[in-house]
Amino acid sequence: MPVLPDDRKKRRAEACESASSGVRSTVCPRNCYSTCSLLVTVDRGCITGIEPDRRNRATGEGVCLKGLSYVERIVSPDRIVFPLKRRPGTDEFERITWDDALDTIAENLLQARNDHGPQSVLYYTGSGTKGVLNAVGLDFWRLFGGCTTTYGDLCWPAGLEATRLTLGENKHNVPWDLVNARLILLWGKNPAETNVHQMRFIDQAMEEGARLVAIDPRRTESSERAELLIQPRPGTDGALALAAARLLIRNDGIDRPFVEKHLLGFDAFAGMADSFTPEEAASICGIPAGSIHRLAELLGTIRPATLCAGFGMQRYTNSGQTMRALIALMALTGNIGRPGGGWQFANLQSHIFSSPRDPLAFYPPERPGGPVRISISTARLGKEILAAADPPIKAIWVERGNPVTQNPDTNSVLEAFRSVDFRVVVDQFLTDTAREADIVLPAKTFLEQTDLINAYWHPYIHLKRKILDPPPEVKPETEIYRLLALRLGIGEEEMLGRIPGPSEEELESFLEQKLKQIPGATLEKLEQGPLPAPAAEEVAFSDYRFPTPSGRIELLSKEAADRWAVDPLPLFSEPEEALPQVADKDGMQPLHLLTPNRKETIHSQFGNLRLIRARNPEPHLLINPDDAVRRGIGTGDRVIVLNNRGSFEADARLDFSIRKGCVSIANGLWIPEGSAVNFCSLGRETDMGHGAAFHDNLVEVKRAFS
Amino acid sequence: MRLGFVLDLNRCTGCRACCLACSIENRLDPEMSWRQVSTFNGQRHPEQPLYHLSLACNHCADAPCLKQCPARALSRSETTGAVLLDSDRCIGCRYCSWTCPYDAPRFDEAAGVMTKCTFCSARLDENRDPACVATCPTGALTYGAVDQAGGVAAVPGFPESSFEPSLRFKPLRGERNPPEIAPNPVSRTLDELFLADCVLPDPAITLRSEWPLTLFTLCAALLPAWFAAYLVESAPLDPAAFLGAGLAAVALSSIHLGRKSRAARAALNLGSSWLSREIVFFALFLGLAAVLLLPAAPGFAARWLLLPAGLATLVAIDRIYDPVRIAAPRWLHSADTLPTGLFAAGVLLGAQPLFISLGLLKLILYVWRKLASTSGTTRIPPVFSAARLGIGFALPLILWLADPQGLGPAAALSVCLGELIDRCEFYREIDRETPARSMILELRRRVER
Repeated sequence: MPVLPDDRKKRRAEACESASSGVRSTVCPRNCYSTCSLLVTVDRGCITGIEPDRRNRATGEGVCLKGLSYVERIVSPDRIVFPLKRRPGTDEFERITWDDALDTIAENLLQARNDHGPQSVLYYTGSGTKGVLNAVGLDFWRLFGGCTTTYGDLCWPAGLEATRLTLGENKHNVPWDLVNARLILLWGKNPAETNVHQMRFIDQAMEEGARLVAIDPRRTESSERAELLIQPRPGTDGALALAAARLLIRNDGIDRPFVEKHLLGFDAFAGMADSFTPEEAASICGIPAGSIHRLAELLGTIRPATLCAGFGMQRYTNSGQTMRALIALMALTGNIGRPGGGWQFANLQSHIFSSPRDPLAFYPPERPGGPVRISISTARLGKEILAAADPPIKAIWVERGNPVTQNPDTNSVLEAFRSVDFRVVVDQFLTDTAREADIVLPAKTFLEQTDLINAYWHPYIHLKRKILDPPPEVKPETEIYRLLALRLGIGEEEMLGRIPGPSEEELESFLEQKLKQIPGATLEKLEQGPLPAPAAEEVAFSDYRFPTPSGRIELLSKEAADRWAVDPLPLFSEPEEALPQVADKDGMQPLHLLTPNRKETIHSQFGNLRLIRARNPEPHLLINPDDAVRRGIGTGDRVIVLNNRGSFEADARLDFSIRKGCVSIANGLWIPEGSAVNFCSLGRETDMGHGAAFHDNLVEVKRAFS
Repeated sequence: MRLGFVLDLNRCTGCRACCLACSIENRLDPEMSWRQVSTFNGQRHPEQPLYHLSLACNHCADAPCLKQCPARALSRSETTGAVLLDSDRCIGCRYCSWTCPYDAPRFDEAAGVMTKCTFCSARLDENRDPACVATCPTGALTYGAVDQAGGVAAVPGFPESSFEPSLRFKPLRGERNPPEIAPNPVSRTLDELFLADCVLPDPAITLRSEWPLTLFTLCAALLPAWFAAYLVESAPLDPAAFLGAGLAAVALSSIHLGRKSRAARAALNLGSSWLSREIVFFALFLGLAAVLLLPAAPGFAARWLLLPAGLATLVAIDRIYDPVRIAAPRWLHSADTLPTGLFAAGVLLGAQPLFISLGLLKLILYVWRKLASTSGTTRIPPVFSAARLGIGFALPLILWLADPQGLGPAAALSVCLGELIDRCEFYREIDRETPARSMILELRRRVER
């Protein structure tokens, strides 16, 4: 373990000398549904309190434990506050000056560019923090002459693409509209842990008599409130949805006028869905047929209904089609475009600073002649770095990400990282990825640089003001790029409009430029607090305009077939790792490994803080008692989770309500903690959207004998 | 109007943001907060609901901590009704945490004093909600007039008490449909497996942590017996040894104080604290002994004054442990100091009716307890019981039957050893009531039924 020679008290004292006092409005930029508006109390440069900014109607009720823990995170003794360099041949890091760091980086980048061309540098970014300024990185690499980047995304592309193909656009009703719903389906979503602010709206709706159904192999904090919990075999949700659709269609549970007016391909869809009888779907999903009847009855008789779909469910090899089948349920019942109704997956109405609404921004085609080679699938990161040729990857720059543990197939990512000549990682903490670096550069925290932030659940955009000076030797990424550009011989005039200057004024005018394209949004207006994106709709699709090729809700999508080579209808097929399971010689079948997020962390962030750790022990591997007893496993036993990709260890705990055949442990633990789950996942894409299908993951679990 | 917290069980997701907010607002160590969340059925028994109790101090109308604090460190705010702790007055004896079934007062190791929820009085002064309420992301926790809040005063698993906690719950809405779980083909039934996993939290009071009190209380029980035997001249008494033992006991009892320099404050609450009374009575007992055992002391008859002081000490000691007795029967334990003192006196005096009746009483209480505590709450290895019965009862009985005229020093020593074992068991059997404990017991009860 590298030692960071620093003194927490000294740092706090230094920070306190620098800045002002007062209550300031800001926003949490993590990759999280809630994107909370926060009021931060600053006392002589230290954060002493964090409270909700009640002007945000979605998150104004309170701050989650992660948000509160920034009080510690900003001044954590583990935070990287100066550049580090690996001592050659060791796992140790030593403090170096910025001049040393930038010289070393420039020298290695120039060598890679001279020997192999600029595309021998891989620029990898994760979702560690949001912000308009994140785009500066790629502009730097264009000035460098180019680079290689990844395509696809770990998080949500299958669902985004399924939604875009079906409805034309990724948007949904505002979060507080959920109180108008009379039926709420939490399908693969556990907002109590991943979107806690949604729980208030769910409860308010239930106070008004709304009914709640949860569909999840686990019994979660969120499903606890439901009257019906359906626990299907992972990856079979599509079959469940199609069987429910069949019942709705047969039993007159659909909204006929809506279907006739707004749906494309209803007859073809109905014909296909009719082959999914409740009995057959029940057998596929491993659930009682009665549950499917109950689901269909609720959907057929209660309006408006909102279906909140989670992200985890769309990380299977068949999940784009699954998500299309789920959206069909909302379309058939006429729940799209009305208050209290709809399909809630991602609400990108505040994504107005760049053009991510253009699907090509998510799924860019290769442009062989361009400076930026977009050639490596995020889902297959390790294998494709290793396989890259002409030129091969010689250097890697990572920022806002921790691909070693968070991308699929940790062993291959580690192998790939160790195969290249030079690695730079920009981060706040020595993550598993940072530990692989040659140079680690300290990253700012969100309070230390002004930026513009959008969300994917509520419609607000925020000006995130700089509230604290970063520690003396921490520079924002924009400044790192500027200084590096100067060392690489890139002139100030070339940087104009691409990389902002160091002063707050230069940053502001840079952001003003970004805002210019958006009527109704100015820095001055944003200074007043969270601002709903100017064109955002309270009720999405209330005009019944669906920007699909046909202008209708496409249950039958030619585009889906053309682009992704899938059936134009959302036909169910088994995910790759859930084909009929073969029992081994002891009569045991492999187990589905579920790797959900937990309330204490955003993936691998926050779990290292004392405020978080003190109240929340490390996650256990949850296992059904039947699966446990068959394997001689009891609560508290150390177990090995393994398959042909790799293995990790964990402490087992019997969960008396998890679906038999499933084990579950939160993702985001660090390798030294022993339970980094992606050692077992495979780098493989979803059926559409270039997502990562790493939840398609069968494992065996054994007692570890020490 | 009584002010307090209202917790909506439907809304609380057990996220613990309230705990962090408390820790941050009150500048506590990151590991500490005055609010804690206990989960009912975290193991997810399919037929039981899962919910959380987020609890801080309930600022009870009849607060036992306030009544029992020996140092008068606790007081009630006239404006909010909050029970407030003055850390400058606290001696760090932790007794308030024994009296509180909600685990509200917390010990600050660094400062050596107790700390507790104040309703965030500084925030209330600014018309702001307590930090835990202000941060609750689901709006499950509110603060206001509890007598007008509706709701219920208790939910299953919430520790029962007569202290009138200023807290209301909004109970779970309706009945949840339990998830369907495949039938369990394994030999042990699901419930047996479940109960095996459904274990009580580690005890807050242990023999390991309270050994000085074990020795002190046993000493306090034996010294008056010794003195009584000396008075009727059936046992010798060396003043130096007697006073030395008494002073050693006092020294032992002060080991656990967080602030030893403030030990004298422990006598300040004679009016309502049994802990204060114990300390004053025992000081009286030792003081009188010191004066009366001097060669120039007044008449021998005055020495009988020690006996009421000694007996009063024992009564006080036993009452101190009222809140933490968890074995049956809760009102009397075989190792309580009063019966122990009387039994020892009987043996040392050779007073047959006394030691036979007290010995029988102790034996019955002991066996009753062993038979009653079969529900997974006992943590005493059988070897202890065998030693206690053999050394404490059987051996003296044999010695007595062998020589009915006199119980010699051997029998007395054997009895004392037996009492020491029982007193050690006592400290392994007592524990503080806490919400976490109470919720596990309630869950076990429901599943066993």
